[in-house]
Amino acid sequence: MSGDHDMVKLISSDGHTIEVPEDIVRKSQTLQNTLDDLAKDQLENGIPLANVTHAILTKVVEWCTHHKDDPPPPEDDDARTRRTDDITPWDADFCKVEQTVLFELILAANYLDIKGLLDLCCKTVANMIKGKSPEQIRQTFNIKNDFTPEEEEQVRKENEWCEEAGSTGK
Amino acid sequence: MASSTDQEVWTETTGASTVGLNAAAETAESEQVSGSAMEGVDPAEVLPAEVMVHVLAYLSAEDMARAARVSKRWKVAASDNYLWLRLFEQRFPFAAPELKRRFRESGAVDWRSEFRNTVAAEADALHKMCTELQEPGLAHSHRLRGARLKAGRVDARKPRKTSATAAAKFSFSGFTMEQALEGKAWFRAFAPRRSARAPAGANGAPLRTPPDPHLIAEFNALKERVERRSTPLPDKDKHHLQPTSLAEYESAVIFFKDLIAPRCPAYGAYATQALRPVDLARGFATLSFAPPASGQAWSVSKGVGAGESKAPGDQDDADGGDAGA
Repeated sequence: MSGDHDMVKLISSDGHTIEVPEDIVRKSQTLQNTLDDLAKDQLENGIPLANVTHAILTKVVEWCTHHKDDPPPPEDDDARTRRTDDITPWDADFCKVEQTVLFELILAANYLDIKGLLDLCCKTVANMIKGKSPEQIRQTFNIKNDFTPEEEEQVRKENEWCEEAGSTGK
Repeated sequence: MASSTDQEVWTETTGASTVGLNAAAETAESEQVSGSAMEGVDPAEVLPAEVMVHVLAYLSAEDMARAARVSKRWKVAASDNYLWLRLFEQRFPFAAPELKRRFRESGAVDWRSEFRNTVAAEADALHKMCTELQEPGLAHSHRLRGARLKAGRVDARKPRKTSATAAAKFSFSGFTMEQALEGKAWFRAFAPRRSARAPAGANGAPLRTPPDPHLIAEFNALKERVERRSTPLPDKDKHHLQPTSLAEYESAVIFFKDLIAPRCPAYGAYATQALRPVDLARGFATLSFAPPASGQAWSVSKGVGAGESKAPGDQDDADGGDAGA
C-alpha cells in the first residue's frame, strides 16, 4: 500500500492510531482541508482528532469506505421537504446502534464535516421523532418532562393548532 | 504520541474486520453508557443546538409542534426561527416572498407565529369553501372532486369539520383566504351543471348541458385577466406572480387541467403537464367555447385554423350565451 494510495494516520481522542487510505480520509471536508494545508512531513505523526473516540472513528471510517465511490451529496434545497425514507438498507443497518453511538456519530460527522454521514444519522434520529406524541418522544429518548403543569398546559395550547383531532393531548 | 503502541492498519472492509468493528463499538458503548441503565439518551442534551437543527430540519411542522412539548430544552430547539422559515416556505411557497418583504421592512418575523396564523386563515377559508362545495349540484362529479382535492387537498369525506385545528390538516398550498374564496368562485363557475338527463360525466365526458351564460362571461373575464397579467411575467417561476394574479393563475390551471384538457385534444397534454403562466396565456388566446354543431355535446376547442380568421370578439359571452340558452 504505497504510491498514490497513500495512507493517513488518524489519532483518536483516546490515543489509538489507525491508518486510513487517503481517498477515504478525503470524504471528510475537515480532514481534506488539513491534508491540503499541511506538508507531507507534518502528517508523519498522524492527525489528532480531539473529539472522536476510537470506536466512533472506526465506524466513521467504515461508513466512508462503503461510500467511497458515492458522488458528493447534493446541496440542501430549503424549498423542499427533506425526505427521511430514502435510507439504503446498508445505511439503515449501519445506524442500528445504541443512541449514544448514534449521537456520537452525529457529533463526529459534524466535526469532520462528512455531509452524507451527518444527513444519514440525523435522518435516523428524525425518524425516531416523527409521528410520535410528546410522551412517546420522551420515552424514546428517556427524557424527563421538566415542565410544571402550568407550563405544560401553556405549551400545549401554543402548539395545539397542529394536533390531529384524534390524538391525545397528554 | 500513542501511535507506536496501539496501531492497526485499516484495510478495505472485509467480513472479519466488520466483526472487529462491531465488537469495538460495543465495548465503547458499554463504557460510555456506563452510568445510565436506560438506553435512551436525550439528543437535545448531548447535541449542541446547531447540530440539533440538522435533526429537526427533517421534521414536519406537526412534528415540530409536538417536539416543542417534550421538555424545556426541546421547546427551545423546536422554536428555531430558521427552521420555521423553511417550513413556512415549504408549506406556503407563494406567501413567503410577501412576508420576506415585510421582514426586511419591519426587521423581524416570528415564522412560527406566521405559520400558525396562516394555517388558521387557510382553515377558515377551507371551511367556507367546503361548505360551499357541498352543494349537491357540485358534489356529484368525481372529476370535480378530484379538482377540489388537487386544489385544496380537501378531504371531501369530512367536509363538516369546522375547527381550525381539524381543518389545518388540509394543506392549501399557499392560498390566502381571499385567493381560496376566489378559487371557489371559479369552481362554481366552471363546474359542469347537473342535468337530469345526463349528469356531467367523470373522466372527460363532454359537457352535455350547455354552459350557462354566467359561466361563459366568467370564463372570458378570467381569460382576459390571465392573458393581460401573465404575459409579461417570467414564465419559469410562478413565485414571481403577484398575489392578485396568482389566484387567477391557480384557478386557470385547475380550469385547464380538469375541465379543458380532458375535453379538448389540443390541450390534452396539459392534463399532466405543469402549466406555466405563459402556457395559459397562449392557451387562452386560442381557446373558445363552441356551440354544439348538431345538437350534440358541447365542446371546448382550440380555435387555431378556423380561429385564426376569427376576431377575438367573436368568442365572447354573447355567442355562447345565446346558443346555450
